[in-house]
Amino acid sequence: MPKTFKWLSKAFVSGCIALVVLTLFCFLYYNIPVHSTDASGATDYSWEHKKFYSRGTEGFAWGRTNNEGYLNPVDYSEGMNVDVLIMGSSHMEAYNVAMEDSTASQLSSLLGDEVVYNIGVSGHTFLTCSDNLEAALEKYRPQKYAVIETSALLFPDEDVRKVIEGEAEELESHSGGIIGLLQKNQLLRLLYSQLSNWLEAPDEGSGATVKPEANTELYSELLNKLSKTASEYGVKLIILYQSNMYIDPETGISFGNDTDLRDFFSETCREVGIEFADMSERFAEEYSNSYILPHGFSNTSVGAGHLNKHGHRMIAEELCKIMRGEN
Amino acid sequence: MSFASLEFLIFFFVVFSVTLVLQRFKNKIYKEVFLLIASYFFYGYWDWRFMFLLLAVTFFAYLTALFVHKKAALVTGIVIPLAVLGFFKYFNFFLSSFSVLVGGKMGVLNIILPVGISFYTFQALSYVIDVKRGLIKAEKSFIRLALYISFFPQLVAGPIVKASEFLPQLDEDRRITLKNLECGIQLMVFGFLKKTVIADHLSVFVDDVFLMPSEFHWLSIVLAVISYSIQIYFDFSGYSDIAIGCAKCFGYDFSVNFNLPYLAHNVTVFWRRWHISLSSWLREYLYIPLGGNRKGKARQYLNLFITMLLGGLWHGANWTFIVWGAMHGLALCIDKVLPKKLSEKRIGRAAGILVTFSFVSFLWIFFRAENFAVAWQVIKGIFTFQSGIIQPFSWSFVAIAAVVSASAVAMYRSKKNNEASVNGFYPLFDLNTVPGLTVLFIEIGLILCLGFTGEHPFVYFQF
Repeated sequence: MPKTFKWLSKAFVSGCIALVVLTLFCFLYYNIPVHSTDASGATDYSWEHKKFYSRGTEGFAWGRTNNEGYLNPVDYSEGMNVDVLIMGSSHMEAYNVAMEDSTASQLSSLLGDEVVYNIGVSGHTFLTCSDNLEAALEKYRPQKYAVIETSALLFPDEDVRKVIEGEAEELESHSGGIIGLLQKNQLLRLLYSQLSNWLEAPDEGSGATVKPEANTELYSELLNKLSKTASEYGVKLIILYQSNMYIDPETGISFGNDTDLRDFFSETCREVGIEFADMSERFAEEYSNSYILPHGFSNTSVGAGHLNKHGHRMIAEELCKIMRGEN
Repeated sequence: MSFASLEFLIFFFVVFSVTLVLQRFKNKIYKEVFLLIASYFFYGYWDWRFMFLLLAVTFFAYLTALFVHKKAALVTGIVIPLAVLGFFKYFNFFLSSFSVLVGGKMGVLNIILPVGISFYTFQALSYVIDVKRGLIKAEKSFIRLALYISFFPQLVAGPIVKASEFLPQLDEDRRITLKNLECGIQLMVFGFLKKTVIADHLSVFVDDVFLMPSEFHWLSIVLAVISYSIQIYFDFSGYSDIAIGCAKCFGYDFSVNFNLPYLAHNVTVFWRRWHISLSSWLREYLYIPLGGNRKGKARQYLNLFITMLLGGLWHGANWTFIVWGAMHGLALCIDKVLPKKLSEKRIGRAAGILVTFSFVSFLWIFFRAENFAVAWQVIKGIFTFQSGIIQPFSWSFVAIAAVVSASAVAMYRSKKNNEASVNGFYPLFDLNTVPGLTVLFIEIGLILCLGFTGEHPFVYFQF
């Protein structure tokens, strides 16, 4: 018995040391702040404010969130002049590229004196951003443009309807209670992420998912609403569509959504006074000319996942063209 | 059931616990019967129907070995298992190759390849031949023979354990002890680390390049080829480590299957260090019976070539494997002709390592490619300095660093111990100390934190 107890004590000490070592490793490799609810409603949540973050699972980047918890090179102060407001998902949040490589930073450099403020946060789909648009415009009062980024154009009817009627549910931040506390430990967080990915690994035969049908009437209604909101605040709205690009040596390049849907969005946006920036052509062109892919990193499958620095550059350049009226 | 699955962890825990209880009985038969049932369960978990095939191969080996002094028994003891292997693995291949040759259109049979058939067929064959050679006596106990052929750690992807190695262990009092467990667990963890952290991550990049080689820059293709060399090494040696460690936990010893193969300074040495259980099997049961080097130089070269050609075919029913084996056979012949003095000097040896690695890596293209068209695209891409996607895959550099540093440590260690050649070793620690336990826990933590979470079976499962 004393022998067993002695061994258990050694195991306990070793476990603690290993935990410290692995936590230190995670501090650099996978250090993600906790989400907290954004009371203004500009986004459903943002990250902890002024927190160091790092991510090595997809690309490798690190930095510090700003005073509002966004991945923005500048802090926000009440009444600050914002020229361009960028909203969107984790693609715009750009946590896997250096902050100076994000769309917001590159666009800011291209535009010169104009202030670009990025409130892209992971988990915020086109519908979430649409739902938050009014609150975001109310808070930041952009002078010229508001950009909503999306990588999808197909949405469930029910969700679209809720946004139109102003009844969309807010995304939960899970920052409170024991879950919030557990999220503070980066090792646990990485293990949780690994476990989720592992459980999500596709099984044979379960790959087929039912895609919703495009309800163009509802989409038109939503775009009308967005256009109206933007007009009320005197700002030009740009919907930035950037889809994953698929390469097949036999059939060529293809994108996530079919051409008809892209054409519908393009047409309807034009009719209601929204600029629809479809990145598909630019992505394909850059690939054809120089084999540069907008998505994917040096530690992921080629071309898969989030926007990389080239993708952000292409988007910034295209947005700049639109803003300068060169398109 | 794959080693890298939750099912296996549960299975291992249950089998281990029950064996721990059963080994208290003086009569070993309870433990042996239980391990046999567990091994069949392990195999049947994938497809229960093939348990009967495994049982039939075992029963046939058992019966023929008892009457091996009769020539007819020996011949059938060799021919029938090979015929079974031939049917399941090669029937469709030869049928389709024949139909291409005659320009006809023959349908193929819907045959499922039983997992591990190449491995357990070779074990059954080695048993019959060893009995004939008088190396071991014919096993009277069917249970023991069945356990030797189906013992779950080596059942589906080796290492190919010879009957003369394993059956005597069943006569000894092999049991679960703290010492065995200490060694076994560390080997298993080390194997999982190799497989899930390095090999599986590399597979992401390698799969991309081999899926559309025409789209990648030649430097990316070169990196993918090198990555595949490392992937297959870490994958298969990782699997072997898990198998060896798993058997060790139960008190059984399997021989080492890999010994720093990429430090080989010629192809002959490479095959002494790569998949050692297969190469020694081929040498003992194919090359030597063919005449080995006893019938003159020309015949020796022919024997080498035939052995490697069949070795290639053993890996899979595809012309790419045959070419892979044939080119290794040719290389072994050329190696026999080359003067040995070249590798005696340090610089010559270093150049030899580089040339051998490049050659072996080049041949892995045929091994990895699904068909000749893909292999040709990969080779063409490299030698025409093709332009395309540049992907400096970071896991490749991590893997290269791991191989180089492990080799450097092994070289330093061998020099320090005045060993004639560089040998690999397992970093085994005393798990009764805090440093030893800490290293183990960190290794487990790294597997959990960095392990690849997608689906990627062991490369050698397909064989």
